[in-house]
Amino acid sequence: MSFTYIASAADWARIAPELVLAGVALLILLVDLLLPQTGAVPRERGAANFFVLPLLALLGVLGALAATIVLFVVGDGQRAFFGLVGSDWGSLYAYLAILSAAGLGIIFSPAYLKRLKLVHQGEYYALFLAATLGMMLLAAATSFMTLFLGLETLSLALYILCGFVTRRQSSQEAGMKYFLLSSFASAFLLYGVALIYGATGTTRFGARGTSAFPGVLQFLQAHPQSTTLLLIGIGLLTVGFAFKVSAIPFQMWTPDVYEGAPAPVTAFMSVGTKAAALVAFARVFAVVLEPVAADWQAVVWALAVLTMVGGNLLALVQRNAKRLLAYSSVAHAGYLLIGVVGGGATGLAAILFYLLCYAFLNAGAFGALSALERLDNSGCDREDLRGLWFRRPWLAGFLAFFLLGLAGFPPMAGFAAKYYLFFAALQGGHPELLLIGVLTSVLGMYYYLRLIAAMFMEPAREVQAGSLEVTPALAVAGAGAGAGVAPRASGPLGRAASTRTGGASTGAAVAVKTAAQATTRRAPEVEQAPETREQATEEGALAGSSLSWTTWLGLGLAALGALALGTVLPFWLVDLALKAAATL
Amino acid sequence: MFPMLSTIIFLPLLGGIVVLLLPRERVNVIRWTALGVAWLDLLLALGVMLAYAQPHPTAITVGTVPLVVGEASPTVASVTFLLQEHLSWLPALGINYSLGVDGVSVLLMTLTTLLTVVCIAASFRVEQKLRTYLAFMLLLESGLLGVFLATNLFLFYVFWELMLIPAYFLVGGWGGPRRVYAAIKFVLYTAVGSFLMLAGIIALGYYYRTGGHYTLDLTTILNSSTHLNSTVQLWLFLAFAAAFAVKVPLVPFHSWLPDAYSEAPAPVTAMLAGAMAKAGAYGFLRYCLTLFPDAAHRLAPLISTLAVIGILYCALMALVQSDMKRLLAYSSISHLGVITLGIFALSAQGLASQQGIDGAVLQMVNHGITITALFLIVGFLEARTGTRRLEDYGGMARRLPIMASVLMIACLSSLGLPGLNSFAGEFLALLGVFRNNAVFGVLGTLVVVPAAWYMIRLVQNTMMGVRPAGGPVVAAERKGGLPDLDIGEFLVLLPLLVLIFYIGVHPLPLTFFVEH
Repeated sequence: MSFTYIASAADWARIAPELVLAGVALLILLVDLLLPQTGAVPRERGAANFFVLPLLALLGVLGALAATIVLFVVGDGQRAFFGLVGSDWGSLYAYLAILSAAGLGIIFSPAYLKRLKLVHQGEYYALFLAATLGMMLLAAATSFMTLFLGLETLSLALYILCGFVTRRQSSQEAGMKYFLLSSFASAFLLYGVALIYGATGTTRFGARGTSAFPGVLQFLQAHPQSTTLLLIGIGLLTVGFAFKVSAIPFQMWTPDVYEGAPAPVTAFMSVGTKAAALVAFARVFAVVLEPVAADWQAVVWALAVLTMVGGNLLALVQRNAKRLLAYSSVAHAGYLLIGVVGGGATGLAAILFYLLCYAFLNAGAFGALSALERLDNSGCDREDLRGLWFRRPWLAGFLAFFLLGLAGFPPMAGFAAKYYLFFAALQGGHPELLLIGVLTSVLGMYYYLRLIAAMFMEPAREVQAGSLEVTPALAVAGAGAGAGVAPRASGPLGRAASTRTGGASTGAAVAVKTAAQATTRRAPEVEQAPETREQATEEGALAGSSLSWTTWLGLGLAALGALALGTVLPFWLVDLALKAAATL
Repeated sequence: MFPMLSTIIFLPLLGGIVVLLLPRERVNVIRWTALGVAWLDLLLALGVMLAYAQPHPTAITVGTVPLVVGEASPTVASVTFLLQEHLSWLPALGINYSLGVDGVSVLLMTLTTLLTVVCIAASFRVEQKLRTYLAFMLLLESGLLGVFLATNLFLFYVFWELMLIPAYFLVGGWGGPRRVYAAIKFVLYTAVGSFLMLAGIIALGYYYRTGGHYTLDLTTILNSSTHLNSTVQLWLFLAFAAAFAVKVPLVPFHSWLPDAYSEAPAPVTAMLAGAMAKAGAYGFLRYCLTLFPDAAHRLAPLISTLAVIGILYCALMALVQSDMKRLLAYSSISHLGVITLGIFALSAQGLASQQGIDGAVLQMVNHGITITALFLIVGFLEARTGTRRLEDYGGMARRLPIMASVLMIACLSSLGLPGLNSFAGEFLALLGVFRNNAVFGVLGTLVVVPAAWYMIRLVQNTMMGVRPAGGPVVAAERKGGLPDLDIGEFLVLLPLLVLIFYIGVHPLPLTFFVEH
């Protein structure tokens, strides 16, 4: 058998966004070598400049975005390389979500990397772009081979990015865990692909309405009776995909990885991976395997319900904001699966629109947390967030904004997206999913609001006003305090302080407790001088309300995007999604 | 045409943003800016009200509501929206930005703007995070106005949820010791209801599709020839009623209210009780009754039963409260029960009673005025003494003569003394109920006994009787911290007092709006 391989210029033009990213990623590695370096030992040596590389990476993302928009306008929407990669509007729409998340992740990165002294920026941004590239490839894949290629590209890059904070054990653990479990899932997926190939004789998807590059779709349309081989293949494929979109019961890795990974990376991967995997999921199941929908629909239905209910229930009991958001992202995957079950143009369009909205909200929320996270991965517990509003009102305001958006409050994007998705459920003939989705959203509301309550309504760790009276009370209580000595022991001073601050006596209680904790926590650190110094500068950077302007920019952009998507943009974005979904 | 209604809705929102951007130290500038915005909005609303009172040739009549006018044969009243604004938003899903006023919403809009002015003026003592507080107050006003003026169900839901966010922050951020619990409970209860309504709205748009076109515009739906079958109506009615029943609240769904009302700072409580609770009753009237007439007919006995239980049970609960704010909270549930009862005073043929609706709307306005005055007075008292417990007070009238008289007037208004505002509303509403269903009418009317009792108990235990020998009130008095109402506080209450007397003597203008 012989192949003639001719790739036309048009084929390259169809994957222009990917090419731009690949080029810029290589360029970043090159520029990294040319930049002046600092650091004595190789471990600590890296570019001293924390501005050039992210700017370059951002330009790459913007370039890819521009290429995507150009393709929207002038592209022919045909598949490239003999039906291996799509350049249809559905893929391009997914690019929008992925690239938005990547752009925001990159904007959040420099301040974070600088604060945590992660100097290997060249690798960081190159891998970041490589992961983006993989996601785009996954979303645009129209063949099981390309699909696997994209999956592995993004996964390999993310394994390293998750473990990027080498001095933090949880980050290493995250990378390792992600690697092990993800490879396992990839193996399932690959096996499923192999069996489907065995059953149908092709790995190409095949397009609707055209017989240009016949694939699995055409085979199934011709043979709607599914064989055992095909069924097993579909089953294994479902496992692989369910893992990637972190659907329950394959969600175990999600909280650990999201918590351990650097926050900007989480901001990016929580959205990007999900977007790419879901679009691929939707394309494979709701389009390619549509002729045998009866065989898989019940399974995906069960996955969706389990994920919605379980994700929200598990998020209820989380105390760490990053873990909470991780479980909430599991829950969101559940909502998104509604679109797959509902199917049809509306279902797919709802998924696309939801992903775009989710990109801004979730990236924004994790971006806000990235400004709080410390080297040892502390700083994001509910305890740490208490009274954040009194210390850093704007940051708390932004975080609350994104959380409310995720909870589905209008006028933020989350509501419009949810509305469309639930609407798709009803139109797809699944009113029960609409009801379950709505009811689990109420659960979701509780944990988001609980977090907001901690930030806005519970007393600050450092008591703000009336510090004159508070300080002696603290000193007395703190000195005398075993853990259990109640603030009432501090007598009239404490009470005066608490009435002065307007809060309940709990205000003093918290302050006393944290003061005591702080002293005990600080004590052992004195012996390790460099660590302490590091901690001190970090605290300094954290304490000042002067966030790096890049973080502000990222938060502002994400908020603006979330607001615009929820109010003005649905005008044409929903229509666009509807048109795009028809081309998937 | 100038988008008058949009201006009224979004002016407070913009004002809130401006307030947030003012320098923190200029406390007085911040306060007066917020108050100025609220005033401006009130003036605009009054302008719309006046314009509405003129004969309007441009009126667009849309849809009809079956009504019984007086004892005459069943007639049909039309729903007419004025000053309509329409902007295509997401036509594929039937989502549009459309606003309009009719007689009921014009009244509630003006009430909301008035109460916001009063409550912001009453908030001048707030010091902690003043800018954010005022911005949230103005945002709350925006949300409420949107709820009353939206004529697209999607838009209505957006505003419905929008008003929840500031309310959550206001209760939780500036409330008493158990504020976090109260705020979260409040939002969760409301959220369950409103999410169910969301499902209902989605389904409604789905059922009213014509040839692949969905619609959520109230005008289009009411003019539509599609008739939902009674099972669908029943479920959709229940989904909508879930949201409204929590907000009003009807009795098994009320337990968030005493907590939220008693924990929130007094001006916020006044806003919640005076304006926000009306949103629920308005929802019943505007949506449940017009969209699902068959289901409303079938379920009216159920809702009326819940309302009657609420009226009596909460009146009894109010009798035994020792916390003044909780007492007022329970009285508020009880009074809103009368409103709900009036709205659902359907005749045997399922036709709404004009008197019942007249009375209910009148009572919405009156209750808004009265309960705001009461909560504010209690707030002023608490600010002086730091306690809300009835036992701590006694014999204050000698020390605080003006406050005692104002409280007396508000209490008498609340218990429905003829000649003051609440009498006309309650009387009309109960009359409407009585005509259509004597049992509910009698049971509802029974409330006047406990209502008089708990209100008199409130006045008696605080202002009359023996002064306490010790406790926080005496302590505050010794410190010289027990002055009578100052001129500012009196001016805050003055418009409410004037209205209490004016509506009491001359309620006709209000019913004019309801009937036109």
